[in-house]
Amino acid sequence: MKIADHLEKFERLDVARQSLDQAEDSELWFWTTITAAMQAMNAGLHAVGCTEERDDFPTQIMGVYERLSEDEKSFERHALPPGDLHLGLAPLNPDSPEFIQMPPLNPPGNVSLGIPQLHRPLPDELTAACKTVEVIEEVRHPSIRGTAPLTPELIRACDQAYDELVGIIRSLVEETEEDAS
Amino acid sequence: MTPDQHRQKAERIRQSTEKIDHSVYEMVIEGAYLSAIHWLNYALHRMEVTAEAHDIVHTEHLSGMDRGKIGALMPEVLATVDELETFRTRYVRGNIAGGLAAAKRALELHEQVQSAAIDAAPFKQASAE
Repeated sequence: MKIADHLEKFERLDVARQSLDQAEDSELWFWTTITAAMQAMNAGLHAVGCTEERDDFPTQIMGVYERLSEDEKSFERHALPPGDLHLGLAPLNPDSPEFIQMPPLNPPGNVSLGIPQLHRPLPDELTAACKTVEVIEEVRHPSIRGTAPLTPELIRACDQAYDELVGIIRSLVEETEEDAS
Repeated sequence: MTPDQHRQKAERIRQSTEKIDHSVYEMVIEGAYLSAIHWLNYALHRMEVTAEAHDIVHTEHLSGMDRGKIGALMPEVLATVDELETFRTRYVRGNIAGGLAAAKRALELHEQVQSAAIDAAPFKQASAE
């Protein structure tokens, strides 16, 4: 998607996130947090030229994107260079923790399109943004897919990481818009 | 996770989804999907098709053998969850027009998975005769 589309989605998701109770709705609050974070990160990655703005969308298969056919009557899938990334699957940072390798990227005998190569190395701001996403991502499998308690400490850590991420992305997008004008 | 743990998560997520305004159709779809996956795992554990230590995360990531097995036992449920996954690509990660209708449909699909899961019973191999 285009940067503006990511930001539009992000703003609506951010409002929905605030409508949920961190304790009573902890699972969906978390899921809204990571969904909004994904939109923000993709806007940031496009803004600095690490990934392409395109009219196709990531599937659950890394490197495989879906888009409307030319006659707009069906959908087709293509293996493409990195456009929008699906954060739970995308290893952005070579030093990322284990979460980034789930599901297995290239288990023996399985077909894999491999790790997406970004168009340019991550700038420092986005490396910092990736670290905030890692804080949030580390909660996904144990506490949402699994039974590990989503403690007030984890919620606070996710909340802080999210705020930090949003700050980084907003500044980055504003800077690139200013540079372009 | 045990079936009861899946059921508890599924019900909590579904209840929270009620609080989402449908203008944020992305989270209606995500809530329906996330709850449905817990219901699918609930069903598969109850049917003794998968072990409690082996939860499904994405139906597209299933091995051919597992997908074939589940497709034979619960074809409608598998197709329903697959449809929910396509909504995530097109309306949550994507911006295809029709998100509101997709959210409505996602809740219907969720109800189908939930209903099938509640009715799930241990699978007994039928006699060929």
